[in-house]
Amino acid sequence: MNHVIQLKALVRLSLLDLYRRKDLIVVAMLTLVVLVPMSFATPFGVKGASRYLNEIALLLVWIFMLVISMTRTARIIPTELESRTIYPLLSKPASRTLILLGRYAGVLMASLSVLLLFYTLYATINILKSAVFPWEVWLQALLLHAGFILLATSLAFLGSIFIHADANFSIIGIIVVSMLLYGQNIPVLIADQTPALRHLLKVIYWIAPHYEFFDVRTRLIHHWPAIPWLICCAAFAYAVIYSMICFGLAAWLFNRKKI
Amino acid sequence: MIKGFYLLIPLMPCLLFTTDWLIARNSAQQGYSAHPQQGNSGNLLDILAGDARDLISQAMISKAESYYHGGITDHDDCQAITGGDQHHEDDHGQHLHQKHFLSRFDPWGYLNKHIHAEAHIHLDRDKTEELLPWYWAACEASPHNILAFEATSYALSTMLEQPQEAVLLLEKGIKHNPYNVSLEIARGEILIKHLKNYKEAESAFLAAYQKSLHEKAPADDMLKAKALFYLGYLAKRRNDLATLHRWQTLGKETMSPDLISIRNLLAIE
Repeated sequence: MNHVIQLKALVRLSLLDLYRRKDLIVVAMLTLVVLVPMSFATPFGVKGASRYLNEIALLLVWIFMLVISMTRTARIIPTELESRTIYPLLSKPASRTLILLGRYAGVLMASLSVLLLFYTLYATINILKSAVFPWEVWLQALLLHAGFILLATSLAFLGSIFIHADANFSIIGIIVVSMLLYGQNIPVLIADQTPALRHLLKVIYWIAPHYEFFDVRTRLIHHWPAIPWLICCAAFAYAVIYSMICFGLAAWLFNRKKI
Repeated sequence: MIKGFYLLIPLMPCLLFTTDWLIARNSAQQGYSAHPQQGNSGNLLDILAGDARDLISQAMISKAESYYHGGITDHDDCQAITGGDQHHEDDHGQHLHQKHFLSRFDPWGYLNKHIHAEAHIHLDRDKTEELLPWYWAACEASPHNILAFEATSYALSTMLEQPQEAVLLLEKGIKHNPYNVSLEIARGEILIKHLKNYKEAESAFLAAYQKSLHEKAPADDMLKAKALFYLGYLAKRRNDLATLHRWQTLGKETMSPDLISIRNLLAIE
């Protein structure tokens, strides 16, 4: 019970930190600056086009979510160490793993709350504009995007234990973008490589985080039918298991770290 | 930092506008072209992007094409299903997976295959307006991208039944590309097929033929032959047989008889 109270306190702290810093207001303003003029555009005097707006809105949501969640996660431990606020935390009657879990869960909850806010806004605007809204696909997109955040933050969290925040952000950013662009095509790329490179690509294919599982924007924008729920849950489970492994490694490293 | 960031939001458009105005004013005074390939329109995009505008324009066309195929980029044009709601998960798009190095056990491939849309569809006719923002962006990004003007005018005239808008767009394209033959022909075809304005169409095909003789126009016998065919067809339509024979003789003497348009022109009686 005591652990739960400590964990809740740490989560609350991260949530307050996110909303106090007004990052969200900046993001919302940027989104409005981009989308509002576009929403009034009627190319060639023809009204009714909305998919391009949905596409740009979702792209912005993905970019902002990635930046918000990754910058927050990558800075947890390095900031605590630099500002020496880690010492009062470590002096509390809580294990290092619990402290780590609390800080990570806090950032994760904060990021997921922003995600929910963005998706709710997206749904609201779409419902106001058109009579038909693909609820099931929207729900799956939200769930899978949450899986994406889970996967990205867990890897950034693991990196934050032993790399500087900016380097961590850059490395994870490259991994995320590369996997989103090429993850699905690695098997095709493997076929044309030399044996040594083929083995390397096979290893990458098996162990690299497959961020491309979570990008279902095309389905949502172009009104494709929903994915079977079993597949959707399997992808989410993949994110959960992968992030658990990353967190386990992070906790193991943090417990061995000399502070 | 955050307060400074707020200031940037209203400042950025002002800064861009001022830079744009200053560059346009300066280059107009100096009389030089900031970018000879794209021409100097005094547009900030011209100066900053240069020939990259062509690439941007091509990317916009590709985007419009992917919208036509339900947002999917990898597709070919066989056995497509028309209708946004008739999504059909067929064997299409499985080409990638057939080459897999892991044909028996590949859980990631299995997930990808089921998560990402892979069927081959065509956009419903009543949703064609969804293509227009990308076509518009393609034409605006590079006024020298002929394909952008042709594809957009086709979508406007045939799919959206807005031939007047299509003609206006083609006229804009002709203004930017004064030696281009295919834009004149596209304009003439829309005037014939959709607006039934045969007089204007004839002047468009005449302009196309004259441009095709110009040394600055890229040599294209197919377009020249097409212009001749339409001129002959329009002459026949108003029973001006002397003019028809003149075009037929010109086609026979100056063009290859293997061209389908020339064969069609000679077949007019």
